[in-house]
Amino acid sequence: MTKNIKFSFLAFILLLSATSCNKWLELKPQDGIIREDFWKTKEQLRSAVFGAYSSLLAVPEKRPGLMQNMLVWGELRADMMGIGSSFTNNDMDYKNNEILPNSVYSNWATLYNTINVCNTVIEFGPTVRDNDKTISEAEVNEYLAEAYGLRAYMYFYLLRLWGEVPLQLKASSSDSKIEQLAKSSKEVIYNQIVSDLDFAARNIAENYGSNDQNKGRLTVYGIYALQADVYLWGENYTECIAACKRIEDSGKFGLIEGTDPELWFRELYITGNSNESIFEIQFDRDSQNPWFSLLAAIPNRYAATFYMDDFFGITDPTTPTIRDIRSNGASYNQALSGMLWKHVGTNYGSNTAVLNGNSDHNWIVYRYADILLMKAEALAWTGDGVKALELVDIIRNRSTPIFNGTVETVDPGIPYQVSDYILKERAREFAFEGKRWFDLLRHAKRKGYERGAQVIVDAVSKVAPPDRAEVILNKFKDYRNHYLPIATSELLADKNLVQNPYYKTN
Amino acid sequence: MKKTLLLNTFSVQAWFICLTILALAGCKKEPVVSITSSQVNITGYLEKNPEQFSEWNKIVERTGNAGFLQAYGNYTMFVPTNDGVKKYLTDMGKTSIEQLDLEELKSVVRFHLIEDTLSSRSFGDGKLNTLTMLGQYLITGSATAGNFTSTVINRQANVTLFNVRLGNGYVHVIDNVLRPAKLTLAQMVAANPDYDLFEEALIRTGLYDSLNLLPANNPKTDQRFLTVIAESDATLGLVGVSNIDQYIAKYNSGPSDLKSAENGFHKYVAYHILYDAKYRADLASSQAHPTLTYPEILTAKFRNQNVILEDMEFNGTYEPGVMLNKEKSDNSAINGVLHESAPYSYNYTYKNAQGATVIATGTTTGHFAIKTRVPFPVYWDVADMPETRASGFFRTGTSAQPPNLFTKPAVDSPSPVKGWNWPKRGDGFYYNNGAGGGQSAGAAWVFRDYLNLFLGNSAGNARQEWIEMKTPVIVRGEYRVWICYRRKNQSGNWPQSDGTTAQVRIDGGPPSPKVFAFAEPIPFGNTAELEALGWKYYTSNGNAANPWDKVTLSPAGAYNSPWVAKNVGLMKINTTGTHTLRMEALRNSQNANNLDMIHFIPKDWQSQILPRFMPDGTEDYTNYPGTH
Repeated sequence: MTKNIKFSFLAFILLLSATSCNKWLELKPQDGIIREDFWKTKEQLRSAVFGAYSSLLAVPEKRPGLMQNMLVWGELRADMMGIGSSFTNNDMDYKNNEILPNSVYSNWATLYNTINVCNTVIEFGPTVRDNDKTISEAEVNEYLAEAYGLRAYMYFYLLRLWGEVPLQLKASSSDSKIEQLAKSSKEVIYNQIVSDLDFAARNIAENYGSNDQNKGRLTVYGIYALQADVYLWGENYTECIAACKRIEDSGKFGLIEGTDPELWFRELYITGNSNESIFEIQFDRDSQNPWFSLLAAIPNRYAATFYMDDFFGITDPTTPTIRDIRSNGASYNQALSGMLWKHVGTNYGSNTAVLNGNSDHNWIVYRYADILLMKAEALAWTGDGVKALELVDIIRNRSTPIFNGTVETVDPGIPYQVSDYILKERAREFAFEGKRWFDLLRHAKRKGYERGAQVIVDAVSKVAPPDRAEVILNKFKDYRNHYLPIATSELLADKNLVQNPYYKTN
Repeated sequence: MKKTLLLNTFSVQAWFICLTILALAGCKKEPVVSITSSQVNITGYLEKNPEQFSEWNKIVERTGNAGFLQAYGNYTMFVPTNDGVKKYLTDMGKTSIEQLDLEELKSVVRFHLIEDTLSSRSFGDGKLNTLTMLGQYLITGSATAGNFTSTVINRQANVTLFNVRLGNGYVHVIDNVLRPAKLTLAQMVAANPDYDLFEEALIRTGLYDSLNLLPANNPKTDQRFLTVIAESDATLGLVGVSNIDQYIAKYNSGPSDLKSAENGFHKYVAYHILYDAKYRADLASSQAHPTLTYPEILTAKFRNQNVILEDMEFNGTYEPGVMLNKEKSDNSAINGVLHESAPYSYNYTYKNAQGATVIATGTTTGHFAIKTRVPFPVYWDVADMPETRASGFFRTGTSAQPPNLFTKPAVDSPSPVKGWNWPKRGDGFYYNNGAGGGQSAGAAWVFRDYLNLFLGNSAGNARQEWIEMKTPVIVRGEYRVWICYRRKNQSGNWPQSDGTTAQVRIDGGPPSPKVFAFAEPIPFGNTAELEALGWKYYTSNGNAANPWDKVTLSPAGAYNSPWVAKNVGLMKINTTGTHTLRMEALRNSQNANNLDMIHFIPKDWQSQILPRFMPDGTEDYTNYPGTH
């Protein structure tokens, strides 16, 4: 009997002490919602999809958020954006083509974070209909299509930055679901992107009823733009042209006129969501972009390099108004140490940058000018150089109708000549919009690196510091260097991952 | 078996107590720290990976270095793999480490060690900035073979594994043993059959001995490491020098003793020797390099991935330079670096004195010598710089357009104007246009533009205490420096109110003998009298009757605001090239400091007064005597 009491007492203590560690008697959390209670109504599905968009804005602790990553990944290795006066070692190394696996920019977590949110929507979204009969299958698929589109957008970054990455298509909804995946080949990733976009294009909405939503969420046109970009990357020019044509034929988009540069700058970059825009990541006063602290706050982190004249041409001092409206005062501000003006300017040509509290320019992912130039590039490679050059002229006429400092005579019959000219025009048009490095890489790797890494080497040689130019440029001659190392933390977490062989580190 | 155990009373109780303790303890499991670091040190790392490093570890142990590499500290070691050590043994004709000379082995190990933690981040195109423990520099670089690029250390070994972070520093694994230099610069020149004439020149001038000292034995601390740019016999052949007598005759002047620093030939040879160990990357990253021929400097540029020496656009002409031969340069000696000059094929576009665009093409010989240049006047329009040209309204000449502000967002921001700077955050200057060329507000003079400097020195005032400006090329010599400005009082009247009083300084040298103030009026008098007082009117409108706006004084005691120039005295320019002119505010402060030009006129030039300048920038050589 005594033994029994002792036994019960001990058991009781055991129970108490165990429960104090983790409340296993209470299965459901009291301050949150669990999966079994979610995925019940269409409102929940809708908010899950919105959650995928807002995950683009997330800023993890101690690492840059996706927005800063997009700017750095798209610009810093190339020749237009340099570092300002408050850079970090990681910035300096990235600029110097000395990218280490422990660099914050070698970390792909921001991309996979959004991929996981998309995977969750794709996996559990269809179950909503089991409970909520007011939503049709087509409506569910509309939401899923947005998740497919965003997932493709994220994998497109991974493909262009790392080349070979793990392909995760399932939701990691609990710790037990975390998988150790090996890398998939570029082809597998590319094909997944293409098929995700196919699903999205078939199912996604064309109109969400308000302009802000049409620009801030992926519409069918956003998907077409992604398709154009992806197919261009994959050198599938016919499909690229077809995707561009679908956008053109919709008649819903056009170029903002450049005759009044102030108006043009305001519409396109400050107000945003313009008629030219196809998809923009949205910011407002309540959720601001990181550009105040990175680009406008003093001292700034990134700025235009000293070589802007090489891109925009030199204005004749006797005719100062004849100039490229995209140069000083629009893309960058020379008098303010080369601030990236399209992200932080409050006015065309002014000297007032955004303040902490009103840094809310959207991040433009695709706009109509991009469609025209992507189409031009595809046309150049399908034997229609004449048509390609006409499209380039449309872009030029908007911004430099009279200024001829950057006009070139190219032979429409020679694809390289035409596409090199387009590359330069893209540099002017999309300066600091996070596209330059990918443009350079796309041109370099075309036809299995037919011209070697020359495009990249030529571009970067201008801005490489003399005391390490040779190292920087020689590294570019090794194509494996065009893709980033896998972060040390990822290698430790996933034993199936193998480091990009260029990076001889452990 | 298990059952019997559980049935035993004692066992059952003990079992529960144990479980309870475990369960309770399970809540807070504090790890007990018993060691300060789990990282191994360099020696430990070598020992842990014998399949890769057993041979090198033996060398480290044999040379007595294992001990301190096991202790804490900050080291970087380049560690050759076993295969690398094998290659070294083969090259040395030995079969085992024991056969190697211990002293030599010791220096080899010290050559692989740096007392600093250097990651691959420090690997550029030239030397690592910290000396190895042997006292020689290591150079890093890169080599591309096929489509593969690797990082190369001292041109002798490839890095196979970077940045192994250990308790006491970094290890970088390399595939060969690094071999220290064994020759001095002098010996290196002597060993090269292409440099017979240059070697003889070094011997005759006595410079051979200066280049033959080990750094530790050199009594001149600033000459422990030197850089030699040799001219090959072939290069000298191109300029008609085929024996030493011709060579000496070409530059011999002054004292007949070739060992005298004043002898022309000595100067020529010493001009090929630079202070410090400067590899190509070091030469490329700075424009001017002091030579042993005081105070001559060698200029360097980095163009199309090549280091170009003595290449200069100058007074409306272009002087093509010579190139460093990439393959035959960057040779490490015990006491420095040896380079070879080479012909330079140039294709250069510039504007000549008449303003026409000229494209110069050709090839130089690779031979270079000190250039004797006669000082000539520099009439510097301070408002002309690439940044103002890009402003979009450069020299448009109407005051209606907004002035272009050049400002620094932060104290440590890069300056918005290359080569210029000022100490505080905020505004440096406005680039202003002005109509016509009168003296009224908004008017301007040369090229109808000027700079409005935010210069001042009053406690608590935001204006800049100094502004540094980059001058055009000025030849070494002595110059009278004229500050050309608009006399203006922003408030009050001269002399109670002096605007901003300032002086200038060139390259951190002594201040100008005289100061000037932006409100200071030119005295009354004719041209000759004014010159004697150190003043001139530097403007002209071409109208002989009334060629410029004269100074006037109103009955109320206010001066008008004409454009005038004050001679701030004779200043010395020590080297030929561009210079930093610092304008320093000495007292008081105003915003309306309007600077148009600065004239540097050689002290014995035919005229300190002419030419004067018209609003469109043309020079007017007409003399207008009288007081006007």
